[in-house]
Amino acid sequence: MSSAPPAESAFERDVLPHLDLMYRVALRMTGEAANAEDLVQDTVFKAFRAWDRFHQGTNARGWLLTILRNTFINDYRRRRRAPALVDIDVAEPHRLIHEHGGSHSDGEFFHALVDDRILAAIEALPEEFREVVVLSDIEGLGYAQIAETLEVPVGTVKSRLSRARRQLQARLLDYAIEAGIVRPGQVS
Amino acid sequence: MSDARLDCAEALALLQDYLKEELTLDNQSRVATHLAACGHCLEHAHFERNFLAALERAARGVRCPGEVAARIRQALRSGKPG
Repeated sequence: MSSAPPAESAFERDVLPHLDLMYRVALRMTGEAANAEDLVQDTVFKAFRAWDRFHQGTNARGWLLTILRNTFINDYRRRRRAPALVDIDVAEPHRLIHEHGGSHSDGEFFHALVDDRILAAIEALPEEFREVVVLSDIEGLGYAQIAETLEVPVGTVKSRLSRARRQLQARLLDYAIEAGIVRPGQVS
Repeated sequence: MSDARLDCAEALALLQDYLKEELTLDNQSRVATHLAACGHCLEHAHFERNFLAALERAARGVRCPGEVAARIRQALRSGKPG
């Protein structure tokens, strides 16, 4: 007599499809695969224990991201190996390229950068910038959803994104120059 | 008000949110109108669009490792995770 596979629980159905998303966010926040794996597991188990407080039919993704973020702040933040850089004022990269007559002002060079370089540049951002970029520009969440997850006003999300993207562009432009994709004479 | 034309500074200030389709319908169309008429801002829009596309692509292949997913599933099935 063969037994049917155990029925998938509502929890598994609603939560497990978000494992990849949780892992990517955890990886960018912790900066290390081993910590990211632990953070995802802790998040799922916490969600499991809190499942009766989750409103069925609402957005499990946002609920999980909030748990993940709180778990990161409480248990993982101090384990990050390298302190993130502080917020710095940088010139607006597009203007910089454009004013010097560069032939890269359409930003095609961004596509020539390897993914690891882009992800490393995101990881070097200050934490509050890193999390908005990851949620918005890597994972594609809308501003309202991000504001809800981070419990800040939408205007705060927008201003953090704007500063984060500018820093990121400046850093990626530096990488592009180092890699010989953009020649320095065309920028400065 | 919704008919008011944007100047370049106004259009550029809205550009990233326009590309993310986060503006009101009014403002989406005002930025689009400006870009259709302004080569300089259109080029800036290409720059921002290429930047955002590169970010979107960068982590696309990153997945939760299979053994981690399996470990989590198993713990959930045991009924006593954590």
